[in-house]
Formats: sequence, C-alpha cells, structure tokens
Amino acid sequence: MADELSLLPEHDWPVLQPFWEAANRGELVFPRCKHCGTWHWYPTYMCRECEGELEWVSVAPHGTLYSWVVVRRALVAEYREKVPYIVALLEIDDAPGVRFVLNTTDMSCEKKLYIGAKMQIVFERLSDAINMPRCLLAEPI
Amino acid sequence: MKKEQLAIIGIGETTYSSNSGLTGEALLLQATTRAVRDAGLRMKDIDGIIIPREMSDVRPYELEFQTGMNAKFKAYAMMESTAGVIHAMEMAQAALAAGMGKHYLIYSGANQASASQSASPRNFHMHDRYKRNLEFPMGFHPQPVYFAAWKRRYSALYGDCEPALAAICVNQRRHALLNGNSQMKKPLSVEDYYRSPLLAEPLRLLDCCLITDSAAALVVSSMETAKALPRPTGRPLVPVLGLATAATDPVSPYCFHQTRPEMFDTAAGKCVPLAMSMAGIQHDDIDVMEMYDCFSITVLREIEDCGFCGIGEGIDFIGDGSVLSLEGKFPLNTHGGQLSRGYSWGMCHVLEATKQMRGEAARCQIPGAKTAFVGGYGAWQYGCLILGRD
Ligand SMILES: [Zn+2]
Repeated sequence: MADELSLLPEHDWPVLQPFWEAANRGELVFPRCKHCGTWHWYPTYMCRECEGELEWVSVAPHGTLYSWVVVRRALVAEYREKVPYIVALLEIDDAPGVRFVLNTTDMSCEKKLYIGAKMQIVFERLSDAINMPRCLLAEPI
Repeated sequence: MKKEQLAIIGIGETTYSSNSGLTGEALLLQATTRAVRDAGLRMKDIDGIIIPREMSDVRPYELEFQTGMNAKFKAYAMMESTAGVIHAMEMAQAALAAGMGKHYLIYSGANQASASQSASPRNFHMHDRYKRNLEFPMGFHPQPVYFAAWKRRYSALYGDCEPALAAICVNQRRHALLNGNSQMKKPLSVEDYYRSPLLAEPLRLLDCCLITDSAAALVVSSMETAKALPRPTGRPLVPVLGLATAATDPVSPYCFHQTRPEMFDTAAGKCVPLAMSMAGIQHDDIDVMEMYDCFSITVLREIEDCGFCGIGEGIDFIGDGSVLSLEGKFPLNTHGGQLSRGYSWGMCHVLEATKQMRGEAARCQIPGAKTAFVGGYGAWQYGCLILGRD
C-alpha cells in the first residue's frame, strides 16, 4: 500500500505562499500581470502573454459553477474520512480565466447545482497555517 | 533533407491481464523480443530506443543489459500515452534522417495492475506539486474525478451523453471478446452499462479503462530499408502515411490542471489535419480507427476534435453505436481498446492499426481495410498517425 499523503497543502511552498498568507487573513488572491492585466492560475513565474511580472490581487469571494463531481466513495485512502463531498470547479467572477478547485461537504445543495450557478467562497481553518477555501451555493437573490 | 517514409516492421505484445505474475522486466522482454523477431531482426540490430515518458518502469539501458542490445541512439519522447508513441515515431523519423541508424524500438509496459508503484495511475499524478497543493487536498483526485467533471459539463452543454458512452463501451466489449487476448471476458449490454456503479458522480465504473499488466513494442525503420530486409515471417510492411503531434495552449505539462480555457479541449484539431494532409486522405477514406480511451468520454471528445463531427455533435454521430461497430462506417477500437481489452498506455492502438493493415486482426479484421487512423490523446497533447498498406 502506498504511503498516505497529508491532505494539508504545503503552506511554505514559495509558489503558493502568498495565496495561503492571504487565505489566513480570510482573503482570496490570484496572480495577475502588472503590465497586461492577464490573470494566471495556476501561478507562474512570469506572464505567458507579455513576459511581464505578476502580482497577487485580492478578489471578491464569488464564483460561477463550471462543473462539479459528487464523491461518495473514497477512491484513495486519504479521502476515507472526507466522503461524501462535492468537488466544484469555479470560475472566479472578478478574475476571468481563473478556474478554482474547491469543495463543499454541504450535500443539501446537491440537487440544486447547475453549471452557471452562483457560488460563495468561505474559509475553514484546518491548521495554524492553512485556512482552506470552501464553497457554498449562494442563496438566490 | 528528404524525409524518409517510415514503416512499422515489427510489433509485439504480452497478454493483457490483471495479474501476470511477471516482473516489469519480464513483460518488457516478451514484448520487445517479439517485436524484434516479428521484424525479422535480432536485438543487436536495434540502432535506437525511443520510449515515451513515464510509460514503463524499465529504462532503455536496463533492457539493453538484459538483451545484449547496444543502441547508438536513446531518447525519451516528451509526450505521454498514444501521443507519446506517435511522438516517438516522429523522433525515429528525425533520427533516421540524421543518419543515427536504421531500426528503432519503441516500447511501453509495466505490471501496473499487480505491482508497479511508480507507473500506477495514482502515483503518476502525484509528482505534480500544483496538483498536490491545489487539487489533491480539495478532493479533486484521482483520474475518475477529473473525467466525471468532463462528463458533467459535456452533458450540461450538449445533452445527455450517456447513450453515446454506453454505445462506445458496449461496442468495445464486443471487440474485446472477439480479440481473444483481453482482460475482460464477459459480454456487456447497454443495461449493464446503466447498472454500472457511479465511481464519482456522474462517472460510472464502466466509463473507466482497465488497469492492466501488459507490455507492447514496435520496431520502425524506413520503408526503403525495410523493403531490402529478408522477411522470414512474410509479414507485410506497414507504411506510415502521415503523423503529427501537437499540444494545447497554454501547454499544461501537469495532467488535467484547471489551466485550459475549456477543460475538455484536446489538441487534436492542431495535428489531425496535418497528418491527414500528409497522407492525402479525407475522413471518408478511413477504414478503421483506433483512439486512446482512458475514459469513454475522452473517446467522444476525440471523435469530435478529430473532425469526424463538430463539437457537441458526438452524441448524434455515435447514435446507437453501429457507426463504430466492425460493420460500421468508422469501426472504432477494433481490439476492444483500453476500456475492455486492457490498458497499455495507448500502445495497443498503434499495434491494432498495424494488424488491421497487415490483414492480421483475425476475428476483428475489417475486410479490405487500406487506411487506418490512430488518434492519440495524451492529456494536453495529441498525436495522429495514419497507416496504409504496402
Ligand atoms: Zn502580461
């Protein structure tokens, strides 16, 4: 049997450190090119469009559902205690081009989901270093 | 420099099983020696070894140690799956033109079902640190979850795709049973498909390929060299009429990152027209097609992106599946593919296309087939190979 991996992200991996630091403050940030304004996710070292420098920019915690999967059985050992959950791919409203993977364990929203549904991003503290983004179906306005 | 025409002059493979009882080396030895003998050569005649990235536990020099090969040219093709095999063939063509030797061995294989850790589907994606940090902790892992997200999105945009996926699976199972060397031994009905458990909703168990102990290999040379060789086995040569590979923009060298504008886009549209124009053929000229099938939904998307129909039209194109049957206009995965025969990193598709062109596909043979199409999905990469008859 393969060794189980921690489900906690590496908070000190330099590539994502600003993301987790912002999350710790309850803020959602993504990298954007200082020059041409293109959003890049996952983070790269430079802008693929114009070779410009990137900066982390705060966005509102709102996204639009792109696709989702309902996971009821753990396909790998690490998820044994996590199922059931819904893993969602969200397009971040303020950051066109960013598709963000997160999940919710609120199974009550399952039947109400549709592609294009408005989702709210909230944080759940998992450790001193990791404040994990999760999603919820936004209430109809 | 004149481009020499490539030919596939030898193929070899092992059984496809869930427990071969063999080491990865032993599987590779079977497949490679069979391919080399099929070509009428000895192991020492091999001038080059080119293997697609991460498709075997066994390094070229380990195989040389076992067999007495001492290849002048050794390289990894930096693509995966069938795209990797086709890219390895492109590299063989370049090496031939550069005078690096005559005969090139391409192989893949491992005891993936029974033992291999490094080549296991689970570990394959865990080398990727973005995935480790931005997808794995969120539960977006392993492969069935990604393709469940494809299936969900495709059905939402273009209509319920399950009838088409059921047709793909049922057809391929029929072909696998005719094949005689398949991991799956029982027939499959459309009702069985709909009874198949949901692994990661909406993806069913039967939407997934198998995990298999297998190895496969092929030997390529120039057509000119091949024609001058004695052919004790009397095997016909199989000329490569066209081949091309491409990658999506942006290149996403980590599998199934959420970094592409449309998650289920493939790079087929960037290489299939090239390979087909090289071969001078249209879609209607294709007699048989083999397509990489890690999941049934991948096949549906490949059919569209390879230009057999438009995006979103695959459900209607496939219909009840008869178009893809051995008697249909575009027989697909005539050996049963990786959904029903066994997983082989997409090597089996190239081997089956070769057999079809030789007229050696036995009960899966398409009578009179003259042109074979191989569609090679490899995550962000795609490869297209057109084979003909000598
Ligand atoms: Zn830029």
